[in-house]
Amino acid sequence: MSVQPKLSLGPILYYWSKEDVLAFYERVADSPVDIVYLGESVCSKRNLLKLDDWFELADKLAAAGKEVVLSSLALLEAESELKRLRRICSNDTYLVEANDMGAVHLMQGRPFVVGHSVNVYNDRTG
Amino acid sequence: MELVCPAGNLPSLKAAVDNGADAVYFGFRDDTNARHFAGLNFGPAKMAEGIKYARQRGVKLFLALNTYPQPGNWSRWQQAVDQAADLGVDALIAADIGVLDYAAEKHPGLNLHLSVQSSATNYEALQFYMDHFGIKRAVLPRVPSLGQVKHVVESSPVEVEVFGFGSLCVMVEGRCILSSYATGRSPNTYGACSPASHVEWKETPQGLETRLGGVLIERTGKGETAGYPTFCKGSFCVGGNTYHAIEEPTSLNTLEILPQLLDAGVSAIKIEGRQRSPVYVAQVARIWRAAIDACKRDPQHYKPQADWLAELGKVSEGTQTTLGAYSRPWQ
Repeated sequence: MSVQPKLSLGPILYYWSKEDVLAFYERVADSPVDIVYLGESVCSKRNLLKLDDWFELADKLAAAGKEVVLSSLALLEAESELKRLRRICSNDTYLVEANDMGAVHLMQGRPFVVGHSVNVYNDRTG
Repeated sequence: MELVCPAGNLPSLKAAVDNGADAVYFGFRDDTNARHFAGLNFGPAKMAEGIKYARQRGVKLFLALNTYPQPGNWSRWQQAVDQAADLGVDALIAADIGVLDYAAEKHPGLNLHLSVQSSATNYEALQFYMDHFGIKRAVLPRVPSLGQVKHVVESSPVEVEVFGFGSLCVMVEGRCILSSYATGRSPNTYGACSPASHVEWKETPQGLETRLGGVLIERTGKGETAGYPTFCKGSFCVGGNTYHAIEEPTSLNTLEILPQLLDAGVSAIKIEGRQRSPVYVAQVARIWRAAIDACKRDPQHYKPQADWLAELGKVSEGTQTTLGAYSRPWQ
C-alpha cells in the first residue's frame, strides 16, 4: 500500500513585518500545503508577532484544515526565552518542533518533531 | 576553579602540565575530535607517554571525542569510547547523543563532560543530558553573556566549564556548516573547518593568496601574517570595500572578568588551542595559572597584570582580544 506524501511548509526564517506575515499565512491557508511550521525559530529579538499572535495564527490555520506544528527557537540563552519555550511546549493542542535540546527536555514523554538545528547524525541518536 | 589546557601533541601536553594546568584535553589522531588537523593529536605510543606524564604530576586527562559519527563510520567512535575507558581517562568530552548514550551504557564508570560542540546554552538542555547520560560537567558555547552564564550555573544540575581564552568564532559551536559549502566537509563530522587538502596558498604579485576549496578568502601583503584560513575570518569585497566582512580575526580573553566567573560558580576555565604550538600552550597556561591563583587569593583586589595582557595579546589571532559575548554593555 502506498502512502500519500504530505507537503509541509517550514517556519519563516526572515524578519518580515507583521502585515506581511499575516498576509502570507492568509495565502498558506488556501494553499495545498498539509503541514505548517509556525513561529520564530531564529532570533528572540524579533517580536513583531507576540506568542499570542502565533497561537492565534495557529488556530486560524488549523481551522482551515492545516496540521500546525509550533516551531521553537534554535538558540536559547535568556530566562525570558525559556519562559516562552515553556509556554510553547506546554500547549496541549499542537505538536512542537524542538530546535534545541532544552525543548527536547521539556517535550519528554510527548510526541514532538526534532528540528534541523538539533544534531542528529546517526541512528543511536534517534 | 580548574584550569583546562589544550594538548594537541605530546610537547604541548608537557608544556601544559609543566606550566600549571589542572587538566589537559586531547584527542585521538583522526576525525573523532574537533581538532582533526594534519600532524596533530595522539597515536597510541605518544598517548601512553602523555598519560603517564600527566598522571605522575597529578594532572587530569580529558579525552575529546566530540565530533558526530554517521552510520557509515559509527564503529570507529564506538571503539574510541572503549579505548578511552581502557586508558582510564578522567573524563570523556562528547557531544553526540549516540556517543554519550553508548558511553553511559557501556562504561557507567566513565565520567562524561558535555562538549561545547553540543551547543547546550541553557540549563534545560543540561538537565536533559544529565538525566539521560549522567554527565558530570558541561562546556558552554561561547555565546551567552556573563549574566546568562551566571544564571545557567545557578540552575545547572552539573558543573559548568567556560572558555577563558583562545581563538573565537562568530558561530554557535556545533552548528556551523559554513565551510562545508566550499569543502563538502564540516567541523561536526570531519573535525575541522579547513581540511588541509582544501587549503591552498599561492604567492602572487598582489600578495600571498589563500584559498579554501578553490575560493579566494584572503590576500596578505608582505610583512602581514596570514591567519588560519577560515571563511568566517576571510576578507571579502562587500559594497566595493574589501574587509573582514564576517568577523575580524580575534581571540577571546576573559582575564578581566575572572573574579565574576569565579563568583558565578564556574568550575573550570578552558583554554582553546590544540592546534597551537607548545610555546603558546606554555605561555597561556602559565599566565592563567598565575591569574586564577591571584584571583582565588584575593578576588576583591584582583586585576590582570599589564604584562599578562601584553603577552596574551601577542599570541592572539589578529593580535587583538575581546570579551566576546560575555560583555554586552548595551543590554
